[in-house]
Amino acid sequence: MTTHGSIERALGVLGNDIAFPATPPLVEAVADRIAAEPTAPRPRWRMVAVAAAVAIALVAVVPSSRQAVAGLLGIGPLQITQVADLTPASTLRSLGRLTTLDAAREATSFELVGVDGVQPDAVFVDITVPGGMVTLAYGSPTDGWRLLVTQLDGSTNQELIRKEAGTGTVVLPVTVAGAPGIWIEGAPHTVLLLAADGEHRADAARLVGNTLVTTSNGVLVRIEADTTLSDAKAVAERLVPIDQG
Amino acid sequence: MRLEPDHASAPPPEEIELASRARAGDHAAYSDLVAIHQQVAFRVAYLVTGSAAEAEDAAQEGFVKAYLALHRFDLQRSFRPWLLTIVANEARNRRRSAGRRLAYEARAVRLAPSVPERTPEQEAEAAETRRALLDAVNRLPDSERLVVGLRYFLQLSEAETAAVVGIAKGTVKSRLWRAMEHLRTDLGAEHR
Repeated sequence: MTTHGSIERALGVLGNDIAFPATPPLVEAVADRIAAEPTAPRPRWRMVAVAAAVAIALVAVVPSSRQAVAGLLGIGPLQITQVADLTPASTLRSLGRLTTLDAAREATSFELVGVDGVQPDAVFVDITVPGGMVTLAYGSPTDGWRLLVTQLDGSTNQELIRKEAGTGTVVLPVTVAGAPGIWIEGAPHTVLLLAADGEHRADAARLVGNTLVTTSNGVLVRIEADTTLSDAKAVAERLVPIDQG
Repeated sequence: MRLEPDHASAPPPEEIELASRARAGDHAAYSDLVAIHQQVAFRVAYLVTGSAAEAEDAAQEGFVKAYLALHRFDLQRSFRPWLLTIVANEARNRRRSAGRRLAYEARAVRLAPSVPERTPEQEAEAAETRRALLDAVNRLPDSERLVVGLRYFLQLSEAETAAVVGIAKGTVKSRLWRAMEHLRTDLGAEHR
C-alpha cells in the first residue's frame, strides 16, 4: 500500500471486519422516554413562555416574608444558591437512561433506597455523575410522574448538583427524621448537574417543582412531587434500603 | 472516493413522511426512525466515547433530544446528519469526564467476503496486511483515528463526519490526508 487511494480502499474493506459492541435495543427505551413527554414536540419559546408565566404568577402570590434564605445552603454534594437570573434551562426531564434496579445497583457506588413497600414504575440512571445518580419514578409516564426520588452518593462534599433558586422560590431549612433537609417550594427552580471541573454540563439543566432534599442511609435523596412539605417528609420517612435482588 | 450516497442531500420520501408524522406527535413514526438509525447512532457514540455503556446513554439521550427538537428540523434535509450531530454532542459531553482511548479491534470471524482464487498462503498474507493496517490505524493520533473510523469504518460522508466531530468539512479532508500520510509512512516502515 503505497498510495492514498490503495490505503483508502483497504480501509473500506477493513471496516467490515471491525468489531463493534452489539447495538442495544433503543427503540423501546426511547419510546418510553418520549411517552413521558406531555405533548408533541413544540417550539422552545412556548415552553419558556409558560415557565415564565408560572414564575411571575408565583412571585406575585408568595409573601416576601417567606423568601427566607439568600446566599448558600447545602447538604453534602448538593448546593443551593439564590440567583437573580436562572441559568437557561430545558423543561425536558433529563433523568438519565431507562434501566432496571439491578443495573442501577451495579452502576452506583452507594446502596439505593426506595419507598417502603412500593415498587418504582421506572428506574433511570445517569453514570456521568461521579458515583452514579439514580432516579426512581412512581406513577405513569403518560400521565406525568407522580413522584421522583433521585439519589446519589451523600458521603462526598464534592459539589455534584447545584440548584438555582430565583426570587420567587422559597428555600427553607427543615429536619426530616432527625436529619437535616431543605424544602424548596414555589417558582420552578433550576437543577444543574456539574462536571468534575465545576462547569455545568451542556443541556444538563432542567426546571423542577417542589422538592425536598435530605439524606437517608448516607444517600443524598431528592424527593420531587407536586405536594406539600408534610407529605414530602412522610415519603422521606418511608425510605428504606432496597433489598438486593 | 465515494463510499455511499451523501446523507446531507435530499432525503428519501419515506423519511420525510416519518419525520413529518413524528413532528406532529406520532410516536410510532419516531420509533421507526429510531429503528432505522439506532445502529449508526450507537456506533458513532461508541467511537466518540470509547465505552459501550456511555454510548448507549448518549444515543438514547440523543434520540430523545432530537424528538423534542423536531420542530427545528428542516424536513427538506436528511434526518441522519442532524441526528448524529445531536448524538455526538451527547457523546462528547460524556467523554470529557472519562478521558479514555478507543482501540479498534477486528472481529473474531471475518464478515468481508474472501477471494476464492486466493491460495492459503495469499490469504495468510492478506490477513497479515489487514492486521498491520489495523495496528497502524490504532497508532494514529486521536483526532485522525476518529475521522478515519467515522469515514471508513462507519462510512459516514465527509459532511456527516464534520458534523459529528464538530469541525469544518475542509478540516476533515486535511485530517484524512494527514492520516493517509501517517499510515503510508507507518506501513512502509513496517515492511522495511
